Amino acid sequence: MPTPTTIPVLKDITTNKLYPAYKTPKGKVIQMNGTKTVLPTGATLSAMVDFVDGCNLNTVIISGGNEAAGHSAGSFHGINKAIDVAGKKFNKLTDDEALKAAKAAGFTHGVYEDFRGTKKDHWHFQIGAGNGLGDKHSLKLSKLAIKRY
Amino acid sequence: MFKILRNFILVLLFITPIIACSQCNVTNGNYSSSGGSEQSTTLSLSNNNDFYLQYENWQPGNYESREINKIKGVWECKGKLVTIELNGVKISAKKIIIGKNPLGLGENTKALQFTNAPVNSFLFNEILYLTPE
Repeated sequence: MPTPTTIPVLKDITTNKLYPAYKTPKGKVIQMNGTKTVLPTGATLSAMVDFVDGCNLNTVIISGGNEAAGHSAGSFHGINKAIDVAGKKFNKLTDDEALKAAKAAGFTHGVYEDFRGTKKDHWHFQIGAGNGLGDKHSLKLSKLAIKRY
Repeated sequence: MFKILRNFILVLLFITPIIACSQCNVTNGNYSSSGGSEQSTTLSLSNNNDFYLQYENWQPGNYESREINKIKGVWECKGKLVTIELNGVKISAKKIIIGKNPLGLGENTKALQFTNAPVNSFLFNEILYLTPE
């Protein structure tokens, strides 16, 4: 029987309604990139908070969560099992740091999408394999999968 | 004579705000989503009132095989409100100045915020930013 997840309580610290922001119990800030991005719930929220707390940053910009629409058919976002973390222009993280924090937080698969010269770059992390992410994208590997466009 | 002049001024005072409100206060150009996810939206508003909307989504790590949706139509504008029609549904966006933001954009950046798109629409709660020419 799985252990029930303790859901962390976030404090709403939004100053501009276009960009909701929340403080984790450990004092780190989850900064949403806009009103379209929806906070996940349950185990994925818990994993996201652990990821943010596990990063060596005070604020982490989140650019994807539990959006009901807009993602590809079969997306793990639509089933509340994925997050997107805004890329290196926004979050000063290395791939190794992101991999370590995501793995420790409970995400199992991920990829960094590197769109050179744009602001589309992001880390995608999800719980479970599927929707295009398999063994090559497992966070058990020593290096994070990176896709350059 | 005085009465006629007075009535003329009264009429002017009455209709001026109506005219001002019905004028379009939205800049033509390209508006794009901020990125950082497996989806991307761009809305082009032309000065002849045609719009072109391109929406893409993809599986993580598989942008090459993205699904691309292209929609054309006519946009309407009243004051700060833009209205487009998608699949028979009128969807509105209001012009905003974004203010202090975490995206590194100027506080005076203009954007369109979609306020009444259906929950199952890719435009639900979307913010599209005016991109420089």
